Amino acid sequence: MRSRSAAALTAAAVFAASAACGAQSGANDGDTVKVGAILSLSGIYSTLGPAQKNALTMGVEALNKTGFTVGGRKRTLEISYADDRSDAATTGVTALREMVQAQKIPVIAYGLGSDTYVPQLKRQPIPMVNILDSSYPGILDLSQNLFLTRGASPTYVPGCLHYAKRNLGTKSISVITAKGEPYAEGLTQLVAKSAQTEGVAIAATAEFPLSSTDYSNAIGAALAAKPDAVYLSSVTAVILPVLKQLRQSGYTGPVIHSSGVNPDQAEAILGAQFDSIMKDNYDCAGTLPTTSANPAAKSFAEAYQARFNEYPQDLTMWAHDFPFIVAAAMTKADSVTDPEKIQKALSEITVPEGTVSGWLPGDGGLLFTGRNARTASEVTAWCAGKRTLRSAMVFDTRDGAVVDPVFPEDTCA
Amino acid sequence: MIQVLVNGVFLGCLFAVVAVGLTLVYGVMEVPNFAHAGVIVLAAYATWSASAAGLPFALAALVGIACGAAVSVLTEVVAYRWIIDNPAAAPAVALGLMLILQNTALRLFGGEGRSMDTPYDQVLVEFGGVSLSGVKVALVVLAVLALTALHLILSRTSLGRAMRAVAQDRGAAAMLGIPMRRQYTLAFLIAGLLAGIAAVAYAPTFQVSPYMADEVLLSAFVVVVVGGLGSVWGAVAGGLVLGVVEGLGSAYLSSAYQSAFGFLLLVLILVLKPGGLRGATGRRVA
Repeated sequence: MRSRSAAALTAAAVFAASAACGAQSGANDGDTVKVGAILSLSGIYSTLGPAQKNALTMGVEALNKTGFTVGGRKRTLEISYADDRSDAATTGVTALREMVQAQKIPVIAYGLGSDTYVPQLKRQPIPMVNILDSSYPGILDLSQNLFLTRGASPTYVPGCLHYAKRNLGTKSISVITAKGEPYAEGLTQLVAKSAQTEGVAIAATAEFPLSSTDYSNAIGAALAAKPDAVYLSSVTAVILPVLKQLRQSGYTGPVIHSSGVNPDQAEAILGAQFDSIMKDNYDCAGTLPTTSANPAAKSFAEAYQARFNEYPQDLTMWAHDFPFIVAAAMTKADSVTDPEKIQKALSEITVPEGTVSGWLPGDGGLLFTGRNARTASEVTAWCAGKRTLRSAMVFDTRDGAVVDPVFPEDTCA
Repeated sequence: MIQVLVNGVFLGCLFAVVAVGLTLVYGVMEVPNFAHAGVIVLAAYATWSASAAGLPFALAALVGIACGAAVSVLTEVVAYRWIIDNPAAAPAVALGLMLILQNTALRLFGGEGRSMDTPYDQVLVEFGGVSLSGVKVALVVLAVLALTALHLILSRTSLGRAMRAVAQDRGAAAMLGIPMRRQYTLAFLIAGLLAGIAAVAYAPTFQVSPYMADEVLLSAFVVVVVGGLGSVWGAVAGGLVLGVVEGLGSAYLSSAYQSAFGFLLLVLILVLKPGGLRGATGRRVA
């Protein structure tokens, strides 16, 4: 009797285990290919995640209209989303492990927290495509599994100083930095380098703790040096409250940053006075879909705005293109399940059809050069009274200096 | 230098209003009320919602303050009341409540920051080479009014005297016929009103978000310890001292370590005067 029970239990366990294993290995066996996205859908960086998810949804829908072919079979793409709650080190890593180990997902898009994902990538390597993080020093040295689909900070920060000197007559600039925030600290290093290249003096550097909610001491130190302009180093959710307190302190001069603030965010975070606070604001980052000269980007911007009733950030273009990039890599790799083959293929694909970001192809027309795909950089200016931004300078960089700057007409009017 | 001191006084007033709410509850119930941060957050969102719905700012502020009071009392009624005889559970319950309140805000309003607009957003007060924005002046004025009103309640009314009696000796107060539960509720009501005032005064300088009060709460706890656990005037003095110390440290050493100066002060006070600026063993809530 006892041996019969033991046998039944063993059989049940074997059945359950094989059912579970079968379910896992078959994750991408069908015509619908599942990939992952770990985004900051809530928390301090939630100005980024929801917009990325919207754009990824549009990209998947656009891709699935025609589908893509792998192994002679027509496929469609599906994205499994996870919210890192702006805490990549804990929630994000848990999501990554779940996606890689349980769901057997072969490629993942993500925003922040590259360094925290590296140990997991060492244990179980898969390609991870970053659609946001341009921090300096760059993320690509952290792991061979990381790909970056945007220009890093060194490709756009020089534009801030170049534009400030040439168009705003800035001879000295004060820099206010969110201490402990890697993107902010990288920007500040680059501003110092670019200021030297452009011959702009750093009047003062002031820092505030990232968790701080009152910036009066840092603002006071920055303004005491009587600069011609102020540069704010950090991301949108951090710099807008600083900007508000900066204006509340009575400062009316030019403010420069690299945060990609859009009018919706400005209104939500700055309130009814957002237009006067944003006046004389200049943002140097990647090109915005709305201000881009690329017709595909412009048409994406219009579709995004019509569908979600919000101004598309620059990162929306890159997020939109992620499904096309993955599909191209899977087609090239002839695999929808093998992370190693897909990773190798990512380095070999040319700019995929259907993308809207206006990618600058590398040698041989390749999308990625050194695992980095990039678009042109741009300085945008706030159009006072118009609730919009205009392109003030489009440029490229070489050896830390601005090259081929183009100054579009003032479209604010 | 004067500008730095004025900034320090502003910060000190903010810390004091939040810390007095904490110390009041601690004095009466011996609960480290971390949920105070969640109360501030919900009061700020209530003000923001009322304002967005079209109410004038003054009315929206009253809605926010009332919401703060209601939520604070609710935390006492549904949670703290049940652990009064088990003080070891208080920190865990308080942390749990804070998470519940913050996540309620996150669920209802999302994680993005929201601006709270006031009629005095663009006011800049300048005197003798010192300038202070209208929103900061409003915070200082509100803090002074609120703390003066609290002082009058505690020292001139029978309710205040009863509360002080409960804080000094619960057993004796109960034997004298003071209704204990009413005193607990009253302490949380006053703390909630102060949280509402802090939210209404402080949110316009920063933004409304589920995590807006975390840093302030941490500083307020430093103030409570520096001032002496349970001492209202110790909290006021501690708030001002902490604000000025953080301001001076930021201006003359590094603004990057603003919060660190507060903790340095805490360590110094604990070493030199372990009972805080106003040791509260015999005079809680006074």
